[in-house]
Amino acid sequence: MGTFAISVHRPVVATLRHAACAVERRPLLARWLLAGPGALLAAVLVMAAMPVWLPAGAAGIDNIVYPIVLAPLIWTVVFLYALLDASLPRATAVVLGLILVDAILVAPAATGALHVNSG
Amino acid sequence: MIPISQPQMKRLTAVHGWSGVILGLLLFTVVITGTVAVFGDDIARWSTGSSTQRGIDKPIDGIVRNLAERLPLFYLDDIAVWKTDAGELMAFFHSHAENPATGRPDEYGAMFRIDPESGEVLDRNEGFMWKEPWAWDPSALRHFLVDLHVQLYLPDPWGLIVTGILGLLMMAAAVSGFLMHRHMIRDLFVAERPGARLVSARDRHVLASSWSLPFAVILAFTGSFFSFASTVSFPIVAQVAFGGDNEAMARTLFEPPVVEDTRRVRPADLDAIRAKALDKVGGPLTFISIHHYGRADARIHVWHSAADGRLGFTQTVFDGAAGTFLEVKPQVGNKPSMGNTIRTLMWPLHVGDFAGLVSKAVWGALGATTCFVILSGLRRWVRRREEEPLWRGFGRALTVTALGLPIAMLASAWAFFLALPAADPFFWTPFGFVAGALACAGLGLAVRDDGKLRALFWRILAWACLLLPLLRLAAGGTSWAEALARNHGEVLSIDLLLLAAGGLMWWARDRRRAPTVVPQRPTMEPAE
Amino acid sequence: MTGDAPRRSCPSARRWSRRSERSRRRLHRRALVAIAWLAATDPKRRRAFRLPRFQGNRRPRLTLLVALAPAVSLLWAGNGVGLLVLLGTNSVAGWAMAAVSPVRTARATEWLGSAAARVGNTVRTAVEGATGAAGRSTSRIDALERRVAELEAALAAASLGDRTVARLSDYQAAKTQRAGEA
Repeated sequence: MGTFAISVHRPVVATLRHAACAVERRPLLARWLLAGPGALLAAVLVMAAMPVWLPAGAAGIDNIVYPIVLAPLIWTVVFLYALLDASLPRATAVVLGLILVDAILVAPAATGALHVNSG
Repeated sequence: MIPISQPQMKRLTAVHGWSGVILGLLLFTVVITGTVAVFGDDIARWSTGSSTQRGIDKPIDGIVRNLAERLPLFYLDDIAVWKTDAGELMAFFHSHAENPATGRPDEYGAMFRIDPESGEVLDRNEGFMWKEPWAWDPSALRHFLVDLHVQLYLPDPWGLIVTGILGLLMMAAAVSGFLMHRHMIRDLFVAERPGARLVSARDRHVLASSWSLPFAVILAFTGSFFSFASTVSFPIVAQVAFGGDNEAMARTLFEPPVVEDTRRVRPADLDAIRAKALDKVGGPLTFISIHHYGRADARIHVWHSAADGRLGFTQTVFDGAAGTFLEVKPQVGNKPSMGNTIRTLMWPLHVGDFAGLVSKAVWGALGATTCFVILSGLRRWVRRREEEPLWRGFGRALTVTALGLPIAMLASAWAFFLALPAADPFFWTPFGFVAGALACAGLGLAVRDDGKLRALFWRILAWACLLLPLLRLAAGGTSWAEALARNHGEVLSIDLLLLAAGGLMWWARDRRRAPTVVPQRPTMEPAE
Repeated sequence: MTGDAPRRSCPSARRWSRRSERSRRRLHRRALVAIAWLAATDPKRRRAFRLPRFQGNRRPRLTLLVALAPAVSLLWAGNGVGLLVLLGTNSVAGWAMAAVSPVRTARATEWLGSAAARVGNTVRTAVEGATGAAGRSTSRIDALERRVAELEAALAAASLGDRTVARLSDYQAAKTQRAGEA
């Protein structure tokens, strides 16, 4: 088991290190991609995923009202984070992580496989 | 302040500066038209010559009942009743059908314009009437100026998306400016240093933006919300939460649950309901919406606008058959919630109409301050680079936009009054704006000397303001005597404001004359 | 803040509301005065315009409290309308006060002061003329001048150690005499 973990762990770490180096080799391009399309996509997915995990509240609608109302703020926060984080690899990981996690949350609901609110 | 490293400061400066340069003039357009749109209702009353408040304060039950008896049942699905700024009652009997022009469901029905005193029907139109503003908006001028602000007069949904992006840009600029300015509190009282140096341009921009920062963030945030809510956010959230069923989401958010009962019954007395609504919440009542008129499951929603300490709209719901009061319904959802509270605050925070003229004046002043912030920031950018012909050209574009936009808006007012007697003001008002804008752009290209160009613009502005009240009167507008007799305050006050503004601009044109231009190094005076 | 329930108005509630409104306006005026004070005494502003540093006690924290007091009071009362109007007004007013340079502020203050003095003199003259108080005023001025002369003489006599001098002219004569004797 331990050998298996090591055999999976090492290539994963190596891949991540390789990715971090690739990002650091092109800092300007990486920053543009992160703060531009990356932040936009992350913000849209965060907003889209909020109905899935946010509690509905007393009136049963908070989970659909909050993402609509807070959408501009979500983008601003993600954009400024992507712009300001001193460590590009970390910023890349966070933004990509946000995109991945929210995409996983959104996918079943968006395809109709999961009904979050009843109509 | 917040510690920022040098690379972070460079990135912030780049984002703050370049986003401002690329989209700043467009943002200025949205903000200046927004400043004017704050007074949209007052402009509507001035342009129509009437100062009627929009509260529904005359009996309407007999009028609605008479009209409903003559219409097919399809049209009684929904009825909207409101009063225009010209004092006329509007009633729109409609249902939902697919609009062939857009391919989307829309409201189709018969719209009536009614004299509220006599109940006489002044006009009747049928179709997808919300797409025909000439039928329900008495002021093409107000309609155009508000549309220019909301979606830059671009087609739906692209105009809203553009203004939404500009709102995001403004938020990013405000927050990045806050982070960049290390000594904001220490510099809070440092006026523009004398000598017209580069640091003076910095002082001018920094001072205005520091004092207006919280409101800049609020206006940008609420503006982006309004732009993106219907175009982007609502469909995305509907896809996730309701499998793409926008109607189901709208019903969940905006309609109370009603058990269907299609039996025909005598509708409740609308005037009795009006009285109850006033007693429950207070006035003014500005909009009444009736669902399933004449059915046992009818519901009447009464909208009360902000007044008496209420910040946003309040909605009371009545049984449309029995006439009994049911609830004070939140704007979204069916129970009070934090989501509803936040949603309710968005309109008053953006528009500033919650305390009459006082709050509008404050919001107008904040809008003007934001215009100053944008112009002073762009002017500072140009000052730093005035050796380069490209940026000198941008400086000229800045002058043309800063002075040309107000001229173009006045040109739209001129076109409105000229078209009023015999032509279609809904066509000619935007035409006037475009003509004014093109004329200013042409002057910007033709007049080489910056000082002469600015002086010319100031003169045009002054004369446009001074003569506009005369044009309004010549076009058959309400005279001052009649305005005083009938208490049409907006007619008199806006005329006087225009005369005062024109006089001030005429007086100021000589004082703002630019210094003699040195051919090797032309200097540009601030347009703000 | 969204005002879902109506508030029934009774006479004592209306009186309380009017009193509250008046006290809120007073607080707001004090807040604006506090902002003006902070602007006038701000060290960086004075330094930028080569004015001498303000010598007195600025009391910035206390002044800031006075400036924020109306906002806190409105927030406590749940008056969202008043709070927003106040914050907006203070933002614009604060900018306007800060944007006017100290030189212009000083000129404006001087002009206002002299205008007020001129108006005051005009009004006083008019009032005195109307009530016949001019003669009384002149005799009062004479009496004041005599008293000032007596006080000057007493001061001079005290410095000379001589308490018998009653008038400044006597003092001057005595001084001349003493100088001659010396």
